[in-house]
Amino acid sequence: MKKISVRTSDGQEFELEENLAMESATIKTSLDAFSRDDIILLPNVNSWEMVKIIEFFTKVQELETKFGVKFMEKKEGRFLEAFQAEFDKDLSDDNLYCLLWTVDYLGIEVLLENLCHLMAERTKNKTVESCRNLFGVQHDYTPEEEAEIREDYSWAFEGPEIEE
Amino acid sequence: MAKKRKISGSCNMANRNKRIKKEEEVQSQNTGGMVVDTYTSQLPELVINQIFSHLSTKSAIRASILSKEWASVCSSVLILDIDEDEGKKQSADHRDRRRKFLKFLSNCLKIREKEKYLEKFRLRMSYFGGDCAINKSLSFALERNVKELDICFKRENEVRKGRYYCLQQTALNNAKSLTILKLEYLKIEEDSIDTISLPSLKTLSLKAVKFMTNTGFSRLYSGCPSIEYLSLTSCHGWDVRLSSLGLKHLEILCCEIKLKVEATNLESFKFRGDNGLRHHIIDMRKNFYIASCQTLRSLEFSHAHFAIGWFKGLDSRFPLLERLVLHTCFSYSGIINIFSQHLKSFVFHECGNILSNFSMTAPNLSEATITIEERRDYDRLRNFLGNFDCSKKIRLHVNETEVCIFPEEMRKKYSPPLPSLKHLEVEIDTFTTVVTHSALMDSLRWMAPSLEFLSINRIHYIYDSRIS
Repeated sequence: MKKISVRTSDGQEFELEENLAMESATIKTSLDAFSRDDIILLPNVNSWEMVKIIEFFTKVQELETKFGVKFMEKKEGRFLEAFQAEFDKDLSDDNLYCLLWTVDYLGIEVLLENLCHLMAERTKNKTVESCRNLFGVQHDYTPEEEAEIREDYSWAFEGPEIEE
Repeated sequence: MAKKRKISGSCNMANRNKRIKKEEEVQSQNTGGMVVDTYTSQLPELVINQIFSHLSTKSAIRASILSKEWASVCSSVLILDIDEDEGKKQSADHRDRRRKFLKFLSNCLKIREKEKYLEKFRLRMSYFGGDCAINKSLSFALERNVKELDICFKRENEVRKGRYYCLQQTALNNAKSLTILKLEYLKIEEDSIDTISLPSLKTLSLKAVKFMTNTGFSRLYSGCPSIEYLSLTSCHGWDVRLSSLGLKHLEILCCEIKLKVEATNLESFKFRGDNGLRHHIIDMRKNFYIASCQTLRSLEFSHAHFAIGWFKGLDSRFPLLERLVLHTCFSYSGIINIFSQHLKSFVFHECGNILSNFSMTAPNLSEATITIEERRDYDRLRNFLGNFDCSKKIRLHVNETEVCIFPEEMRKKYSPPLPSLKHLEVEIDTFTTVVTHSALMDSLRWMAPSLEFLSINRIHYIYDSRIS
């Protein structure tokens, strides 16, 4: 199996197996454009993120052998659970956010889907303010506009979660 | 150095790649230059959209208050997933909550008026009338070529006979794009002689559904040529004949029905034989037939009462069977003999008297998972376990340690049940004292003298045969 070399933004080099590297649409496009022997430069990817991504693929292969299913091809509930358990614990919110950005940049569909699921789970328990901070979003509603939304969808805004 | 860059406009793959290629060209020109850290940029719209698709509609609306951009992404998500019970407060005023819920539902539909498509529509609520709002939601979804439709009414806790929502059969007509249909606790009103046509339907799941006539289900099923996955739960009184070639997975749970399965490309079959509500075992001697099938790999039975000799010729009927599950099953004759050449996985959950008259020959067995809940006749247990000696791995789950502690006199007299077993995992529900633990180890060592791997409650023991 051919190995593809990539270099992350902080100068570290990683060797990926070809079929794994091809899961990234970005790397795939680069490979088509440039020679396969060149090192691919990933200026928007940090080395810790690359480590996580490789960890992900190893995990997927383990789970595939365990459950005997090709997870890449089907979306499976058990996989989501097992994946969440493994990946959720040591990723801080900010790290998850960065990883999400990077994985989107690299165009790795499967991992992106799962990370979005993780991110969605985390958003559920957050206050509005902390969500805004996390996603770098500007509050652009006037108090009247916001009040209107809260009134129209009042069923959604009652409930046990913490409010702003 | 952090640089804030807002990615606006349609961020499709081509644009992104162009940008990336430019960056790479720039990089290759600079020698060893560090590229700008873009971590603080906002997530592209597509990613936000994807995050939203994992949120229930209630959570999504709450998230939409973050900013106007998020609100617009929220309203463009083509999934509606609304559960009346989500985040329910105990003390809520019933009627007020209900009114707010219906208003919420109607507003969710309103903001998506202009959308031409809907991917998924899931609605779960209790039925107190309000047909108008429900009908409106249904037609909203169906008009927009919804692919996945999941309508679930809650079963009321009160003993009184619940009222059912009546779904008009014609409402489902021409749902050409529907691939998944799940209906729970409602009545289907056959208001037309014509059959419903659901050409793309792959998954059909009906739970506690009633038809007006006995042939209602058959007629619905005949209009679904592409079905691959069928699940029926708590459906009663039907005559279910399945002979389609496309059916791959079948699940019949707690249904009092006549069942005849002749689907020859079936891959998995799961059956639960009790009524669910009244713990009444459904009689499988009559009205239960499953034809031989060359492709069947997984058979799962729970609370089933097998006819005499049901397992006879299992191997010729299902030659490729890989997985068999017997959970709380009985046999009228008390004897079960199973022979299966390709069986890899066997799961057994204790049931009554089966232990004594059970024999299995499965030379390719990889994994046997046995759950025993009662301290039994150790002789029976020894004979029963002996069936799985050829397995590569056994998982034994017991409720108390004593179950696995064979009496000393017995150990002296008889040969071990698992002489060739190499890998054993034991799980015990109750706490083991130190004293019992050493007795347990002695017993296990006798049971499986050739063990190379042993774990008890997930604690691994280095098994060294040199240590006596």
